[in-house]
Amino acid sequence: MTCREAQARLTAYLDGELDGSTASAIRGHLRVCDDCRHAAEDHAAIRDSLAGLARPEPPPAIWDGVMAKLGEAEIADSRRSRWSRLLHRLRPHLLPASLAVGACAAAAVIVHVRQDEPRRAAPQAVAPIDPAERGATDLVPPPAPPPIPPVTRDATIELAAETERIDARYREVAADLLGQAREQLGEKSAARRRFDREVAGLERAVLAAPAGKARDRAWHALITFLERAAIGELVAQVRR
Amino acid sequence: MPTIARAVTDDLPGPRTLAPAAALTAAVTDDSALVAACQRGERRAMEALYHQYKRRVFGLCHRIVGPSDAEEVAQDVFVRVFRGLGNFRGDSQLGTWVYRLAVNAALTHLGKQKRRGEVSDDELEQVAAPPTAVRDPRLSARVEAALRRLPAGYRAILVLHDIEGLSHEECAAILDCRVGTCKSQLHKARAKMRELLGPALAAERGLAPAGRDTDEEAAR
Repeated sequence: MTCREAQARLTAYLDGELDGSTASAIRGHLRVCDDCRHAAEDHAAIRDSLAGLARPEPPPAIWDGVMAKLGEAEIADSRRSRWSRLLHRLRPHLLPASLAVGACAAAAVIVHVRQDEPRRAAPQAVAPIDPAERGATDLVPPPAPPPIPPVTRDATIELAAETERIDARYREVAADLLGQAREQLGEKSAARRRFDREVAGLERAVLAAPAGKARDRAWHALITFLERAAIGELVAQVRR
Repeated sequence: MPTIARAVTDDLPGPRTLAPAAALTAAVTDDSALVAACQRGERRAMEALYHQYKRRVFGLCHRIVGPSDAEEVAQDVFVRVFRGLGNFRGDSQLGTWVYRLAVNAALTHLGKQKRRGEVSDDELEQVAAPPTAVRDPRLSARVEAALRRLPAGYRAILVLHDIEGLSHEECAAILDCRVGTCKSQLHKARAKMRELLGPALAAERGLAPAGRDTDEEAAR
């Protein structure tokens, strides 16, 4: 046993917390090491001196002081409003309660974030878009709303309805522009196929974007493209 | 390191052989009945609880905050005890709970004093030590003085474990820490005490004279 090992276990040794073999090894080390033995003697002297200190006698006035302070506290209680008394009584439970509320809020946020994830994966889940088979009015089928857990139902129903309204407005504008652009391009041409592929890519971006700013940006990209096509600016380029 | 082994009969420092001074478990007779009576506001029960814990609470406050504020802090502890008994559900022992309130009140008081810049180690050291009952009164007086110079956390663990004689498990419950932390704090606190008491301990061992001025200090 080294001095470092012995000194690290000194308190445990002096308090009788070591097993027999370790205590024996410590005792063996103390027999041959003056420094560690002195340290052990000092620690033991400190421990014994502290244990031997007499407890100071409490002055008799303490009890009177306690009763006086309790009386003052009760008078203060009587002057408190009903709500203040209730708050005071509930104070020990407020921290656990606030922690519980915080945990519920955190759980609701996590559930909400997770329920957005299926929308991001939606392009793989929905049927593949075939531009050739699609008519002018079937632009961007609305993403299937994910199931709403009961815990967050109230908040998420409202949010989903608002997203649905925004998507419907964009879809209406885009369908109108798409019809005009297709009129410009004709039915069967290489330009029409390239155009349809481009539109399909932009639609997938709309479907993949989570509700909010990202989806707004995707809608804007699609509508800008359709606007240019509809007014014929793009038609010439595509034909070239 | 000397190579000559000491004789087997030599008096080596060893584990504590005395029973703890005041184990919480031994002091408690029927806490639940006492608590129930106090919760009903029975004056005699409150007085009984006060007398059961007054020495321990006052002693702890005396050691941690010093004698001048001990009475005030002890009063606050008992006020907190009686006003908090309504919320005491018996999850811990009554003694542990009372000690915890006392340690918290004492450390909070010290913290307030420190923030106000009122605490002074020199001032504390000049206060007369309470009567002692150990082998060497001079060493005991120095131990008292060194105890007051320790950081409050070290003082609390030394008071609970070495003076009050509580187990590490009880200390950990009172200080709201792990048993391992408690043991490590105790080791560091004793090492710090040894550092502060260096010459006096050497004199106790008979290796060096403690010196005239330290004797005079001890006599104070």
